[in-house]
Amino acid sequence: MANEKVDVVIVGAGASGSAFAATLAKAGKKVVLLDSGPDWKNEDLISSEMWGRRIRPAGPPFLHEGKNPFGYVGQAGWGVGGAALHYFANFPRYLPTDFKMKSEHNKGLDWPISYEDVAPYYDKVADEVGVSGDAKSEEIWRPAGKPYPMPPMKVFKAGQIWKKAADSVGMRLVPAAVGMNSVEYKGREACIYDGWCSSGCPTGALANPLVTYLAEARAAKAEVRPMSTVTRVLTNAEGTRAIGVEYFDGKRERQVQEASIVILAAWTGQNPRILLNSATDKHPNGLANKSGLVGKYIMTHHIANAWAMMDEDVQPHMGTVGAQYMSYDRYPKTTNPNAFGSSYIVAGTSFKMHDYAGSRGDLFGPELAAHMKKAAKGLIRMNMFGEEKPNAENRVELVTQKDEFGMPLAKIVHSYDEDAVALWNANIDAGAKVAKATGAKETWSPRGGMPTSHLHGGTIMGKDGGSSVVDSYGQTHDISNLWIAGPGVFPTEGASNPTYTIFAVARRGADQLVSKWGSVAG
Amino acid sequence: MGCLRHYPLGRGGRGDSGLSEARCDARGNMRVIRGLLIAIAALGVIVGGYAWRSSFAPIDRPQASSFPVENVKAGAVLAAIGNCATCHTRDGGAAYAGGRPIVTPFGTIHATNITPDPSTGIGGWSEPAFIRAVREGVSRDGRHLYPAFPYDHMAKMAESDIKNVYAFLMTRRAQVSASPANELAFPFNIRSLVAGWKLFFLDRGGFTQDASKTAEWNRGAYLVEGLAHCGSCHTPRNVLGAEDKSRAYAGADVQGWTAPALGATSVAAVPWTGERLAEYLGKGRSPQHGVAAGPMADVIGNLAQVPDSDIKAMATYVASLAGAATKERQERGARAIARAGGEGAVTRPAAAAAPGASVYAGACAGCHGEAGRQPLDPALNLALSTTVRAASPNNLVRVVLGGIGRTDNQPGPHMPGFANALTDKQIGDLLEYVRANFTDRPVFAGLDVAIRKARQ
Repeated sequence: MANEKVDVVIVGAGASGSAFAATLAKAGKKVVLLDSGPDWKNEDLISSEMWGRRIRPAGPPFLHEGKNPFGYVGQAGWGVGGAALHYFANFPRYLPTDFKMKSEHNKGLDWPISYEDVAPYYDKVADEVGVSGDAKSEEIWRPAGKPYPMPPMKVFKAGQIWKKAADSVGMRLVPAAVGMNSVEYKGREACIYDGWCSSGCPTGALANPLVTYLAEARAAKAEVRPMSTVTRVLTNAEGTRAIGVEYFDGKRERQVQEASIVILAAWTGQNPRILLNSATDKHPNGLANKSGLVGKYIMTHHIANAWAMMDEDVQPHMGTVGAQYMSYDRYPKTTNPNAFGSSYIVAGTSFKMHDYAGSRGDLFGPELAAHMKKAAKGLIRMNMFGEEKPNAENRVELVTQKDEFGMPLAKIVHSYDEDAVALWNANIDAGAKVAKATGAKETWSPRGGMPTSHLHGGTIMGKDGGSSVVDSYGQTHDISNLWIAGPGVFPTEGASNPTYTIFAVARRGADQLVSKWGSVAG
Repeated sequence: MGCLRHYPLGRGGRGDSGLSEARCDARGNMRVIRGLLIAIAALGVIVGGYAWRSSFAPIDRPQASSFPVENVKAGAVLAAIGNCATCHTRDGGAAYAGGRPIVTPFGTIHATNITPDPSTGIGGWSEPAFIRAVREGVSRDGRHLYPAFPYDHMAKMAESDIKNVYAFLMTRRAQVSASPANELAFPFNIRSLVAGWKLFFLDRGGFTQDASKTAEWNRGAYLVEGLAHCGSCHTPRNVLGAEDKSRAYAGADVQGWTAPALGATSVAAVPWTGERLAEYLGKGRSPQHGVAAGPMADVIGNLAQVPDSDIKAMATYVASLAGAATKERQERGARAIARAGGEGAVTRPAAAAAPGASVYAGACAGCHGEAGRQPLDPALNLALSTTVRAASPNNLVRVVLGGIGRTDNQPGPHMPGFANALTDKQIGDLLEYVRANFTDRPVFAGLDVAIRKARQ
């Protein structure tokens, strides 16, 4: 069965793919999104850990190596909506320093663009998907911008406790910016604060792609083709242009979708895997890989948790899984004398049963039961996301084993460097100090294995084809009609939860693609 | 005494909800009542010092060891069936030490200390004084007790049972705790008026066995009509605040909660059976009817100490109140069960069509399930809930706001309250959706008012 050639085929219907799809479809382009998982609808989402698990398998299988192997937590997705179907919708942004790590600190890399290039898209995205927060209060840390379209979210007891404790130790907390509706917005309802965001928000109050960019794309006639697993980008005989993608449909039959533009917007680990698997005699090291950097500079955030057990009933199940308060007080990359990298702080999140258990991974049996009983009333948490420097040794590469479609599996090799380890430890100490200031009799900050979370890099952007895979819009340096979207294009990862920046960078790239369509699409 | 009634004050009741909360048919008829009361009092005086009762001389507090252990044990079970501790314990206070405010339309009555402290409790009460109090509503010193104490039911108790309760109470730890003075308006503060009330409404006949019924039924009737005083909440009151026997167990409002009808007028989707009722009274839940909440949750808590045989007996008697289920009621039950099983279920409607549907999906469906999707260990299926089918939305609103079973270390059903999370509009939308989606009952009347009131 031949598929009709379209203007754009987008691989992956998650955050970045849907932002590209909405922009292009509204510009009149014929868009097909291929996603390897089911066509989730808002009606499939349900506030339950059991049901929520269905939408949370962590994407394609990878092998893991390194001192700190990447662990799936929830920052990958499976199916239409991608990881953004069950994300926490914390919407901090990257700060100016993130774009200039190399020039400011002579470490890591610079972005080919600055904060000022992305900032207008932060404002656009806020209006488009709906962000609640107090932009003014953030301007103690960043350049001024537009106010958010909605006021901050409701604050619950946990948030009040952290605010008071942070005040007492001189840490500035402001209302968290979140991709959620504090009031009705664009026909979507206000949040009901039942704290199940990570199982998928069924009410439409949380800005997942289904109710934002994907809905816009569909309204503009974009087609979403679920259960379609892309294995290769196909190129012409000369190797100069992408002509489409090869994929396997729900019946495991091989299909080809031709398109004038191919956009890889799959998971951060999967885009390099597809590029490396698309090697031809013209591109023996994989597509868009003349630099040899496809798969290189994989980065993840580490997380330092500070827990406290309050005596009072704080109704920890209520609120949102994102945060009530946030702080960039530890964002400057040299905040800690013996460490390097940014840290982003959030405080006051809702918990469910598995969180009560997970908050003390060292307990079992009656001790765990006693802990969970207390936790169901008094558990609160502050956490600090921390940055690691880009390091080419942290990488995705193909291995000899193959998956069910005959596509080679890939491994992710990841180790934190000394700076990251030092930053993580400093963050644990800083968090513990605030936790003690809550007055809780019981506080703890686990130092087990160093966690991994949001994944970035692997197809980084840069000034030229020698030092990077794509330009700042996502266009590959090697093949002009092959584009890449998502956090894989970030050359540094900052410490902020990435989705706001994923949306902003993708919307910027998509606008660029529309404006220079004639010269790119050919 | 007017609309004085027994107000079981559950955890959900909280007892401070004010006069407007304690609904009473007599509220608007205060003048008529006052007139009637004065007439009754006058009658009492005419009848010849009827109101005057003698005093029992105080005794030295009996030694705890003077009561046989088996009597004390039996008394403990009886006190649980009678829910004595619920009213005679203030929030956070020692059991039976009294002080709980019982709010009525006529003022506030403070439950008395029934621990054996000689000065503030019943330590100086002899056994005959205690028996008279339980059966006739007269204090040791001869004062009439307000019928907030349900002696209109207790009068049916066998003397041996009253003696066992006495043995139980007199062996509790004595608590020095004086209850505050009652705050009643004239003329309700005149205790002798109660004598007139008793003339009309206190049946001193004791319990009579019905030889045509089983021993189990008779045991149940003895407990339900007597000590357990179920009618205090579940039977509507007349203008004088006495139970309207012509409408026994037809349901009534108590502290903003609705005690549902237990008889043939029950709105339950599936007819109750003795087995189901026994399960409900024993565990506080019946998958085909509901979960105990509000004042009834306290009753269930007390019944946990009661032998299964007595629970089964009470269940048998209560189930008999409705008689055999009619064909119409059986069909109603079958329809509800089919609906609960997903028959006629439609996919979740769009938020625009039913704004409550998405609130349900977000806040409720994870435990209560929805069309075509049931959790592994589901909470009550709302198609079967008596509360969702009730005429008044009061109970439903209160459960949504306050949740169920937040007591520490108590097993059993648990539901979080959503008072801090949902706006009044979201709750209104939600309950309209729930009513329409899960029942064939008409839309709730007065939903907005019920939400506002419950918020206070």
